[in-house]
Amino acid sequence: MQTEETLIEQAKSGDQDAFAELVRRYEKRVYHFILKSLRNSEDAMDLSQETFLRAYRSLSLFRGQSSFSTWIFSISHHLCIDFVRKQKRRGRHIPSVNEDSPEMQNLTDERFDPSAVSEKREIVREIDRALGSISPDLREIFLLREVAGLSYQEISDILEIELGTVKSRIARARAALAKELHGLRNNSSDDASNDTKVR
Amino acid sequence: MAECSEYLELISRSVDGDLSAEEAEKLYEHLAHCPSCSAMLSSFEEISMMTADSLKKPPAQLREGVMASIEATKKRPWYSRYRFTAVAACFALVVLAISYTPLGDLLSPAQENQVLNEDTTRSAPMMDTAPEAEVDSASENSPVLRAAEAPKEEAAVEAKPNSQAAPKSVADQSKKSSGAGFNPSLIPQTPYTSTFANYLLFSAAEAPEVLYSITSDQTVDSTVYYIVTEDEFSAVRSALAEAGSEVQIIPGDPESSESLLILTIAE
Repeated sequence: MQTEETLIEQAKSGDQDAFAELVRRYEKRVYHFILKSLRNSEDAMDLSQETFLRAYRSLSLFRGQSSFSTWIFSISHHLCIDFVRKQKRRGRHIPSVNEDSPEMQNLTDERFDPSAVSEKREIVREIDRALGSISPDLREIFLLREVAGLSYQEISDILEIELGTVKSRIARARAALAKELHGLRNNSSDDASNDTKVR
Repeated sequence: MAECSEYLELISRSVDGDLSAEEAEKLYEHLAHCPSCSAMLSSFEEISMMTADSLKKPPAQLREGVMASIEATKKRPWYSRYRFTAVAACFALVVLAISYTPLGDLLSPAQENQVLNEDTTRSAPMMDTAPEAEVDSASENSPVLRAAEAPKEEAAVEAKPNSQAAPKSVADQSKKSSGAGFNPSLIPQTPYTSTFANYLLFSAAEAPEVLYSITSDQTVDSTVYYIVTEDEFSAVRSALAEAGSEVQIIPGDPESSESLLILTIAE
């Protein structure tokens, strides 16, 4: 398997196959980072493609002084910010949940029995819902860490914040999510208990 | 417990494997006696694991669409690849014509040299990387050509009262005039109808790393445009100055809060 550095150099020389391989290696993380940020599959598809097209067009600018991950997700990050700003100007809001996301459809796995799949899907749905409830700053940094898989230093470079701030903000994001999840699960059990009482 | 708040970050960092041996020992010693923090760690690990697990392969059309767009730009007619070269040649003729006519008085000697130098650096064939969607707004928007044609379009531009005929020197051009107006004829032609506070022209070879964090707005042929804030403009300008790069800064509309970076990709 070719190294990333080799692929980048080949892509810079015009090798489309090399760039296609870079896209293959990053598409999952980029797509899900944007999907969980914007919570709309169509927008995520558009901006994911735009991320890679912009990367391709400005590949000559990339000199390896930062990691390719930092570069790609810097592009994604700014595209998302611009998109949200445009949406706000048009009076549109980012949905809190994306019920029809492909990830919800693809959770069926032959390794799991139907009840486990259902439970797993519910947990993922809960996390997704909780993500929509926390502040955008915390959501963003959580996604850069957990979905984009970036290191603390890479996140620090993209967001232009101190390393210490990255660490504390990620901790706060996780705590906020855990609190939201706890609240969602308590509400669910309350609903179930009320249903039982009604019967 | 209030003391548990100091362990929150350690718990989070342990999920990422970021703890030193000392920190790990301190944390696990606390966890052995704190069910609440233990539950917090379990919760963080579950969130991390379930999030990672939910990342399935994206639709095939993502990669297909990207590569199709790239392929489409490669298949543009052969003459479109050299459109910029033809335009640059026309520009050179226009500049020569201007310099030997009374219209040449519009430009100071310093600016004239600037324009001629710019022509020299931009006459090389350009790499064809623009996606198909941007082909239609191609060579006519070349900033080099449009700078020469600007005098014809002066009447269409709203001129401010007491506008200066021309800046005094190249060095002074980076300073904004405080309310005294600006000379639209010096502004390079761009795909934008609005004007910007400053126009900074440079080549890809000189692009500073700070540019990575700025998303470009659009690419036309081999020219990439970035709309930037005042802070971003200052950061790029400083980085270029530190690197000793030769760039061209053209002052624009001081009323505008945004500047335009014009980057030329040369092969």
